[in-house]
Amino acid sequence: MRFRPLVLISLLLPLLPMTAAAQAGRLVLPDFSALSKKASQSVDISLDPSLMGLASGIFAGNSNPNAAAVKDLAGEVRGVYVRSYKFDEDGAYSKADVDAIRAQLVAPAWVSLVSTHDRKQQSDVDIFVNRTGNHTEGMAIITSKPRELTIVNIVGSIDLAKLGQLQGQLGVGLGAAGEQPAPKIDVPRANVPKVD
Amino acid sequence: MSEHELEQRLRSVMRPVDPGADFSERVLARIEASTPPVRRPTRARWGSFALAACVIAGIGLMHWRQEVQQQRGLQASEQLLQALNIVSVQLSDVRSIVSRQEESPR
Repeated sequence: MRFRPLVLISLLLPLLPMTAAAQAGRLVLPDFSALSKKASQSVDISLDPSLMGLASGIFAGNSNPNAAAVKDLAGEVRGVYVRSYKFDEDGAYSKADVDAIRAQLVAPAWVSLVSTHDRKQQSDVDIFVNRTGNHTEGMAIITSKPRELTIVNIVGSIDLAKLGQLQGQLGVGLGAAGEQPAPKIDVPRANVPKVD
Repeated sequence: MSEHELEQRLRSVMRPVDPGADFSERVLARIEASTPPVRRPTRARWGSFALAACVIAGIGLMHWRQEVQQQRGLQASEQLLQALNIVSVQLSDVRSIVSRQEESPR
């Protein structure tokens, strides 16, 4: 009877690298429900691999060329996680809220790609990538402004240049978080749960 | 044939006849013989009912699952577009900050 836990552990040990690989590029996003309550606008998106597959299926069945471009863009993306909050007043969130994320973005797994600071607008945008060899495992973008905090975690690889090319063609890049225009791809309206 | 003769003939033809003491038994026996026996559902019949119900329920469940998957797919595709939108806004923020910094006199 005593050796049973050992047997169980030895059976589960080979699975550890698999779970680690599944988590590569994925950040643990803290519970921002307190921020969500304070925010005037908030976006909470969690697309795991199964939902990404379903979304790709929708775009695959769409004859619009832009839909094909989105499918191509998201082809190597295994997950998308977004938390975006807009506030009516300055200082509604603390540095500690962001630090919980930044603490995970450490070398050697994560490398800072771009770090910008606009003193005039008190705006910071940081882009980090998680790379294994030549393969991008994930990306994290943190935007902090006096009245806005946006955190994006893309698991997998996405071509930012291609996303730039699609800007304005999909209703992409025309508005701030929570104020997006209707997508130019004709996606039939689903019963999307209300996004605050 | 006179009217009287016709009446006499009819009376003789339609004279009352005694049906006999066992008339009611005979009628009941013939009724019973002509009524088809009530079929009680057999086990095989119940089985086929259950099978048909399972098939119908299965088809309904499959249809419902497809519908749910379709709805989830549509929600996911809308959310993906929204997420790409947000990333795009962030990238344009970076671009504008960098270009402002490049333009500003050193």
